Amino acid sequence: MGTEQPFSGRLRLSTTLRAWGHTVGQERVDALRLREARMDVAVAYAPLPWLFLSATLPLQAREVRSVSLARERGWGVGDVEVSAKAFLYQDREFSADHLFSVLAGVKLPTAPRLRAEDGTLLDLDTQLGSGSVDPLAGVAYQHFRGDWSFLVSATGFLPLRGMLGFKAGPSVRTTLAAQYQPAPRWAVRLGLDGRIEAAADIHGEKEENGGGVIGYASPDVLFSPSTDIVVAAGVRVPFFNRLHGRVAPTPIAMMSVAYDL
Amino acid sequence: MPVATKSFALPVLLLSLAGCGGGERIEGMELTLGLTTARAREVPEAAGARTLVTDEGVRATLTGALVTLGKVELIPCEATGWRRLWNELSPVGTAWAHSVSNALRLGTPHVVALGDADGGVLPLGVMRPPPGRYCRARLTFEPADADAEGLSSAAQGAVPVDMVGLSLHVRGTLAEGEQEFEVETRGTSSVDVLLEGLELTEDAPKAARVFTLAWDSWLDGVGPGESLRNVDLLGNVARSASLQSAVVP
Repeated sequence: MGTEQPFSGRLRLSTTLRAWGHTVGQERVDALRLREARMDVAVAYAPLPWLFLSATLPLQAREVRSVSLARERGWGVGDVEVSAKAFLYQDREFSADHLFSVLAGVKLPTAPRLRAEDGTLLDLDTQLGSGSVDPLAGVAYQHFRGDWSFLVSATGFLPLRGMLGFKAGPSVRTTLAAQYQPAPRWAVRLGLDGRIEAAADIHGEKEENGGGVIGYASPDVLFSPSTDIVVAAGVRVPFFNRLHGRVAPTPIAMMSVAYDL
Repeated sequence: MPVATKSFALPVLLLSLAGCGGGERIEGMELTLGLTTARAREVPEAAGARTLVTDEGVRATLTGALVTLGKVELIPCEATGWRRLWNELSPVGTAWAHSVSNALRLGTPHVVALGDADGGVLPLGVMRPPPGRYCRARLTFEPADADAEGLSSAAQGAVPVDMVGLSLHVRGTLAEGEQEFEVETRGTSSVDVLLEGLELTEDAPKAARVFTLAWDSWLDGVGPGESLRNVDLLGNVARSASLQSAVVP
């Protein structure tokens, strides 16, 4: 459930709601508090039994507040991500126990440059996109064993320079997850998500805060009210934070709905 | 729907959505700071515009003076006791280089020239501190770096002075014009100026304050026949600072 196996002609529509935030900097001195709610609308299609093509459109609303209580708010469309996932190996043609796949894609600078009412550009932190083309590539392994399934994946991002000279650092995101499905309609999943990233820079000058390693514990509950629909809800709790400088992330709340046509 | 239309529908939808978005900015707390000069004492008899009498009774006339205000730091009222001690022991703000500005620190150095007349206000900048009560502002006079404001006007005055590396340049005459002097210092001196209950809240988010430098006390400690080299002139400049009033610079 949720990590179904591919078959030709499969079309999946999904949406994921997420609320997250972080505070960067020192309280009462230079801290910036960011909060964001976003909805990722995605469509995925398998034209071949071994190939999944997908596109994700984020709709975002965020607020950045400084210690002076000055606030900037931005809302709109974020950066669209398109990707292709190829299943290179599966031990059986139908109902495989072992699946190995590779992923390649790119995040496109589709987010508009947001401006305040007076026409001035909002700060980089308030912008919904980076204005850069960010290639990504990854590998994943899935294993199915009775009521259990397991996922190991790693995806690397290599951002290019974007608006106002900003360039996010290269990063790798990893997931290690186990899922138990005791009944046809529901399942539970526990994952460990990690991110290793280099510090971002602006015109070559490295950002003081950010870059490093962070780990999240990710418990989810999955529910399938009907055959073609999967609803998932969960939280990503940061439990290991070795990001440089002062970066305090909040837990990430998420809920998703996927519908297979 | 024809196949061609269908295949273009998604990209067209994405492109039209990509134009969607908006933003707004809401101002927060703002403290506008300025600096002026004034006399603190009565004008001596038959005095010129820049004539003064030191606390030791020596009459002097300043023909030029430049001082570098390196930074202004806001000190919240609650920063007392161990917290205050911690702040004072902190190495932050003691570096030679142009200090970094933040919500509680205006780190842009300004070279302040004592002009022909008092009353003009030099804008120092706008601070954006957190809401709260601020009891004092710490003014630090220190050597100017190459990015200091006012360097070029100092270098283009009647007597050009390169203030890079200098915290004070003062020149004039002592004892009714009999003895000319010119002194430069590279030291650092700080002073806490009382802000008289400055409070920034969401209901009253904006305020302005002007600091005054009382230039007629800058040569205090100079007695008859005494050399200016033995006097802490930069300390005098720092101690001459006070809060003028709550007016917009």
